[in-house]
Amino acid sequence: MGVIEIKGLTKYYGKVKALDDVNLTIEPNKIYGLLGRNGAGKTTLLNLLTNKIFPTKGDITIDGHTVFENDELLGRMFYMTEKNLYPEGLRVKEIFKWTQEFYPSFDMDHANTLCEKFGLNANKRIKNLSTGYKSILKIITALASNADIMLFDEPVLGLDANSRDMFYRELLASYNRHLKTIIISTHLIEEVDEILEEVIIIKKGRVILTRSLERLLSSAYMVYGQCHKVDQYISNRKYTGEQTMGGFKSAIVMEDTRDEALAQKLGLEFGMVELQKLFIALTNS
Amino acid sequence: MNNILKVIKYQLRDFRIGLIIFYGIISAIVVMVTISFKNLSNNPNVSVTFSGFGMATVIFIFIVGLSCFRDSFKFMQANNVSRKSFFIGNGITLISVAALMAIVEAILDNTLRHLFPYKGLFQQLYRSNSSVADFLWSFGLYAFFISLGWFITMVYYRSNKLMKTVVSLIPVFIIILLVVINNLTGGALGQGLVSLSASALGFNNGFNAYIAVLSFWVATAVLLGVGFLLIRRMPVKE
Repeated sequence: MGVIEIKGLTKYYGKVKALDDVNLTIEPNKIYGLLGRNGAGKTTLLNLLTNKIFPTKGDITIDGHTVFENDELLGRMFYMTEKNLYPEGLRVKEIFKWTQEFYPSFDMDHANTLCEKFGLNANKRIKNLSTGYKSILKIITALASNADIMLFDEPVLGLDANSRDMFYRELLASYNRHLKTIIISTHLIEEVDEILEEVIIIKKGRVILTRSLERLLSSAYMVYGQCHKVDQYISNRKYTGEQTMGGFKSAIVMEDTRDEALAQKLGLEFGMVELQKLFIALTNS
Repeated sequence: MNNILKVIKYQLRDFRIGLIIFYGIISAIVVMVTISFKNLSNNPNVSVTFSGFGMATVIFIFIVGLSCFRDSFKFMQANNVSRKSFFIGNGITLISVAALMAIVEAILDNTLRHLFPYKGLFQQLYRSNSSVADFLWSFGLYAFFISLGWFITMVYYRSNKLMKTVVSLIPVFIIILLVVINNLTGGALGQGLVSLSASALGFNNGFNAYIAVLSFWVATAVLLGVGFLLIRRMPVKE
C-alpha cells in the first residue's frame, strides 16, 4: 500500500522551530504538491521523511512501520534532493550502475533513453556537469529508480523551459506506467498545477492546508468588476487576495457557492481561481 | 544485510585504485632496492640494512581512513541506505582492508628478508621473525590507524565551524598542558606516559607483541563505538 503517516512532527534547528507539530496522511499512488514560501519547512519535511535529518519530536510511519533507520522502507523511497550527494569524481553511468545496486528495479534502458532525450552525456563526470545537468542527472536517476515513493525537492532548479516541460511529461509518463506516490516541492506552482492531485500548503512550519486540488479550487472563486461593487459583494463574505487596477478590482472569495443573483445585479463576473493566486493569498501575511 | 554487502562492495571499489597504486609504488621500490643491493653487495666495505615499508603502510592506511567517510556517507544517503547499514558495511570494509594489508605486510617482510638485509617495523620493534605475530600485530596496528582516520573525518563532518576549530585546537591545548604539568612535576608525567605507552605496546617485560595487539583492538573498538554514536543521527551536509 504505502500510506505515509506523519504524527506530531516537530523539528528545531537550534532555537529555530522549522516544523511545528505536523500531522499528515499521504495516501499512496497520488501526486502531491508540497507548497510553501521560502523557509516554510518543505525541505525539512522531505529530509525528515527520508532520514536525512531526524525529528526533535514525532514519528513517521509507512503502513504502520517506522521509517527511522528502516532499510526496507527507505529503499522504497527515492528522494531527489536539492543538494548534490553524488561523488564529484564519478561518471553519470557509474551513478546509474550504483543506483541499480540499491534500487533493483532501476531501469537502465530507461535511464539511457532519458539521457538521450535530455542531452546528458553518460560518460561525463559529475564535476564537469553544469547546475542544470546536475539536476537532470538527479531527475533521470529518480525516474529510472522505479521506487514506490518519489520525492522531488525543487526538481527543475536550473533547467531551461524545454527541459522543465520534458520533466513534467516524463514524470506523468512514469506515473502512468506504474502508479506511485509522488511528492513535489516547488515554487513554480503555475507549472505543476496541471499534474497535481493533492496539495499540501505549509506556512512557517505548520501545515495550513491539505486537500485535493479539485476540491481546493472549487472551494474558492474569483469575483471581479468595479471596485465599489466588488466591495459590496465581498462584504460579509470570507475573502482574500484583493487586487485593484484603476477602477477595477478582483478578490478571491473562500466559498464554494456563488451568489449569481447578486453578481448579476451588481454587474460582476466570476472566474476560476488559479492555484498560484490562491497559494499567494493563503500564505501572505 | 543486503545493504551492508552493497556498502562493502562500493567501499572496496573505492579503495581498489588507491591500493593498486600504493602496492605498485612499493613493488617498484622493492625492485630498485634489490638491484641496488646486488650492486652494493659486491663491495666488501659497505654494509646495508633496509626498512621502512611498514611505516609507509601505516601512513597510507591512515590516509585511506581519512578519505573514506565523507563522500561515501553522502552517496549512501543519496541511495537511502540507513546509517546503521552504512556503519556496519564501512566497519567491515575498514577491518578487511587492514587485514589484507597486514597479510601483504607479513608476506612482504618474510620475502624481503630473503632478498636483502631487511627489517620490517615489527622485526625492528619486537625482534621476532614470527610471521603469525607479525600479521596479528600489523592487523591490530592498521585497524587502529584506519579507524582513527575514519573517526577524525567523522568528527569534522559532524562538527559545525566553531566545533571544528575547537576540535582542531584540543590536541594543541593537551600538548601544552602536558608540557606544563611535566615541567611542574619534574618530568614525572613524561616518564609516566612513556611507561604507560611501553606497557600498552608490550615493552615493559621483554617484547610482548600480543599486549600491543590487545591495546590496538581496544583502541579500535573505542573509536568504532564512539563513531557509531556519532553517526546514529548524523545529518547530511553538502
